[in-house]
Parts: sequence; C-alpha cells; structure tokens
Amino acid sequence: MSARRRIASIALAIVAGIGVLLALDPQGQFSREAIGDFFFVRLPRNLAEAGTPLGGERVLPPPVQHMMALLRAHQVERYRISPRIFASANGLFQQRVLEGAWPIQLMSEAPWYLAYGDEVLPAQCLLVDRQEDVVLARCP
Amino acid sequence: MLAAPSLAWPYIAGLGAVAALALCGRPAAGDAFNLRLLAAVWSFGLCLNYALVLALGRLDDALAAGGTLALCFGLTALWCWRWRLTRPDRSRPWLIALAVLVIGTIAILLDPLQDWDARSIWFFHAKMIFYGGALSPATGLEGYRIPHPDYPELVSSLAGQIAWVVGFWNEYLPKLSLALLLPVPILSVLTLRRTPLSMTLAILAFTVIPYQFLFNGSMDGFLALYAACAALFLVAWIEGGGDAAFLAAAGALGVVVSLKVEGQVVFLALGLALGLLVACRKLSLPRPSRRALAVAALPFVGYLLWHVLTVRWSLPGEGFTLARAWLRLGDPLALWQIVHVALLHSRLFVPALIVLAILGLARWRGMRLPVVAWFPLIAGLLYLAASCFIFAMTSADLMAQLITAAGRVVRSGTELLLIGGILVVRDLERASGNPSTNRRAESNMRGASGG
Repeated sequence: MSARRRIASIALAIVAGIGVLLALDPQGQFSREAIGDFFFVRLPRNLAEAGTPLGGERVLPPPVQHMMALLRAHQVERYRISPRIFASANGLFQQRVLEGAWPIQLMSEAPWYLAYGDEVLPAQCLLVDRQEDVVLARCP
Repeated sequence: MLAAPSLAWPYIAGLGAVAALALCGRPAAGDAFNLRLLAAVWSFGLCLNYALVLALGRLDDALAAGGTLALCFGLTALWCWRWRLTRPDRSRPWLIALAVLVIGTIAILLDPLQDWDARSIWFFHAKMIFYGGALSPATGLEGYRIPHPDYPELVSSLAGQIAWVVGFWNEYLPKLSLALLLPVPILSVLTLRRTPLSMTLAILAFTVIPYQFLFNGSMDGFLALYAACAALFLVAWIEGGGDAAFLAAAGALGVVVSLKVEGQVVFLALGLALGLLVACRKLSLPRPSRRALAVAALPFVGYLLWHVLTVRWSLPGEGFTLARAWLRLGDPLALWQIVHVALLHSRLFVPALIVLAILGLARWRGMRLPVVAWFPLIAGLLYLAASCFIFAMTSADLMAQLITAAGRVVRSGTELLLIGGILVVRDLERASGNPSTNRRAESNMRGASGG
C-alpha cells in the first residue's frame, strides 16, 4: 500500500470514527450550542482560572463554597459538621467540603461547627458568622 | 508557574533514561525499536519518580534526588546513544503524534476537576501530598473519613509534585499528571503504523473505550490504555521485538499496577494468559538480555514500596471477603445483577461483537488465527471474570457498587479484547501486503491452529 493511500485510509477511518461519535452523541456534547458554549464561555473562563490559586472551585455546590469561605475567613484549622450537612445530597456536601477545604481538617471533636442557618445549634455553641444558608459556630 | 508544565517532560524522560542505558550499544533495529525504547523510557520515568517519592517521603527531597538522577541518566544515555542521534524526525506520523499529545494535554487541562473519584480520591490525595509537602504519615492519609487511603499513589504523587513546583493548588494544573501518562499509549499506537487499518482501529479503541475517563481525572481510562499498551508490547516481545519491547512491557506493567488496585487484576490476567499459552506450548518466550533483566524490576519498586508502607502506616483497605463472594455466586439474583450490569451492556458487547466479526473475517479469508491474538483475548476474558468475582466479594451494597463502578472497571477488559481483534487485523493486513516481511507472525499463526 502506498504511503499516500495509507494516510488517506487512516484519515478516512478517523473521520468515520468521529462521524460515529457525532451520530451516537447521547449527551449532546457535540451540538452547535455545546460547541459555542465551549469556545465563548468555558474556554475563556477556564483559561483565566487555570493560573490562579484555588481556581476552579466554582464547580463545587454553592453551599459547599459558602462553608469553605467561612472556614477560610476565620482561619479555622479543625471543624465538624452538623448531621444534616453530613447527610445532604447523599453525603456529597460532606465529601466536597472535606476535600475542598483541605488542609483545614474535618474532625469529630473540633471546636468549630458548620450547620445550615435554620438548624438548632448544639448547646453552648455560639454563632460566629453566616454566609447565605450556612453558619459557622464556635463550641467549647 | 510554567516551570512544572515545561520541566516535567525532560524530568520524566531523564529518569526513565535508565532503560535506554540498559540497551546502550545495541545495533540499530528500526523504527519500531525506537518507539518501544521511548515508551520504555517514559514509563520507567513515571515509575521511578513514584518510587523516589515513596522512598524519600518529602517532595523536595524526591524532586532534588529525581532531578539529579534525571540529569545523570539523561546525559549518560544521550552520550551512550550519540551515534543514533540525528536531526529531529519530521515525518508525518511523528508530527501527528506530537499534535495529539499537545491537543490531549490542552483537553485535559481545560476543565477543572469534577468527577467523584478524581476529586475524592486521586486528586484529594494529591492535595494532601501537596499541603503536607510529603507522602508520609504526616500527610493525613490515615485521618478521619479520608476515602481509600490505601489506593496506589502514582498519579496523586505526580499531581502533588506538580502543584509543589507551581507553588499553589488549583483544580486545573495538577491534572498535568494525566497528560504525562499520554506519551506511552501514543507511542504504542505508532508501532502499528505499517498496518494502517489496525492502527486506525487502535486509535478508535484508545479513544472511544476510555472516552471521558481520559480527561476527568479517573484512573480507569488510563488503566485500560496501559493494559492495552502492556499487551501490545508483550506481543512485540514474543514476536521477536527484543529487549526494547521487553522493557516497554515491563514499564507499562509497572504503571498498570501503580495506577489503580484493578491494575493488579490486569497484571494477573496478562500473566495467567501468557502462562497458559506457554504451558500449552502455543507460545515460546524469548530470553531477554542480562542487562534488560537487571532493570526490568525497577518499574515495580514503587508498587512494592507502597504495599510495605500501607502495612507500616496501617492504612485501612476496602471490605472484600471471599465468604460474601460464595454467598452471592450461589444466589441467582445477585449473579444476574452482576452479569446484567457489568457485562450485558453496549460498552462491552459492541466491542465484543466487533472482535467476533474480525475473527469471522479472518476465518473467511482462510487465515489461521495468530496465537499472539489469543493472548490479550484470554487476558481480557480472565480480567472480566475476575472483576465479576471481585464485585461479588464487596461488603457494600452490591447494586450500588455495580452501578457506580462496573461501567468504569470493565473498560480494561474491553480494551484487551479489542487488542486481540486488532492483532488479527494487523496480521490480515500483513498477509495481504507482503507476506515475506513477517515470517515470525506466520509461524505464530501456525502455532495458533495447533499445527
């Protein structure tokens, strides 16, 4: 097989493969809207964030971002979370705040306490700060 | 900030140059030799860096030692191979491969980490390693509610090192560790360039099977790719590819076992398949040189060290028990759930049908199936069977485990099955091209039919 024919067959097969991908595109990842969104929204935003410390945290659920903001604002080193946060979204929020806030550590006996704003705080815990629907309390 | 993205490449290549040193003085053996030697260099570099982080603990010590070794190995290898150094190859396949690497790197870095496994396991461990400045008990792996602290840390340690060099953590740049895994699969696909149809199938198999797992930070896509690379390099070694193929296979297997726990299953499946074919006298293994044998163990040092450290640090493992497996395998409902979710899915049976069609085509063309193609096929089937058995062993809820993991885990098995089909297509192409160019492949075809 000549080199030109070989390259042509590879190119044709790759185009066919891409065609199959486009035809079977189940999540609409290759639709016109998705491609426009990629070039005009995602690409510039991601390029701007990729070079900054903690860039990209916007993908975290908003309550988790609020929890992390509270912990960082008060230079917390160790914290615990309310049972309701713990169970929220099938444990997703607990997991996201655990990894997102690191090196601030989640510990069962920590003095700082994160809860939702409408929760009753444990006895002797004092409300310190609030951000949107989340509060930070200090416990003995 | 650009230091990590630019220095990482010569650092890994320099460390891995120890593989090139082992083959120093060998006569020129063509394009495929170069590709496999480069693949060996890269995978050795990845594995040695992992071993250094585990052995030394602190990232600055590991980077200082690694940098010194990379400089020594790299310069010595360049001196040793100076008679092979020519002007950079500007042929089209090399340029296309370079373009694929650049595009792949950009695609990986473009989106922040979102996938559950990526955020909660691999890059969370990387973040802990970065903030701790070390992979040691002080990192916090044994801490409260840390998920899967016993998982292999090859990519996590690399991502932690990248953030360490950059100087800060974010959700993009540590993903460069994934881009550093791309060269070996690209080089292994290039080894098929003389047989364009099989190379095209390999390109599709290497992109469609791992798909989103190439970019989202989960290890399953790269495990599938490295399983396929290891199979391709082992086949090249069996077919007379020499020490370069042997070391490329050793390097790829070193990465396989250090990427993910399932890598051990891939390793065992490949080993069992090879042992089976050798025991049945369908295959014979070439004898590697002493120098190649001496360095072939290096990619596994990190894997062994990590196992020692997990015991020493008392890192808890996952709950899998044999007793549970026997119970589930005797329960028709559980058995059906495993088969239904893990195996009876288009992600597995479509590639399986493609492989069956290729085998049918080979029979129709009167070609005896190459015995080397049976090797990845058997390994793939063994891997899938073992995966089902491991699902049966889980102490977690079976359905939840299957739904969250089966779709990712079976990809390595699917990839191995496809490699079997690709090897048949390769030999069909060779047979229809110039049969005299591959006498070794023909002898393997005879072996497969028992003749």
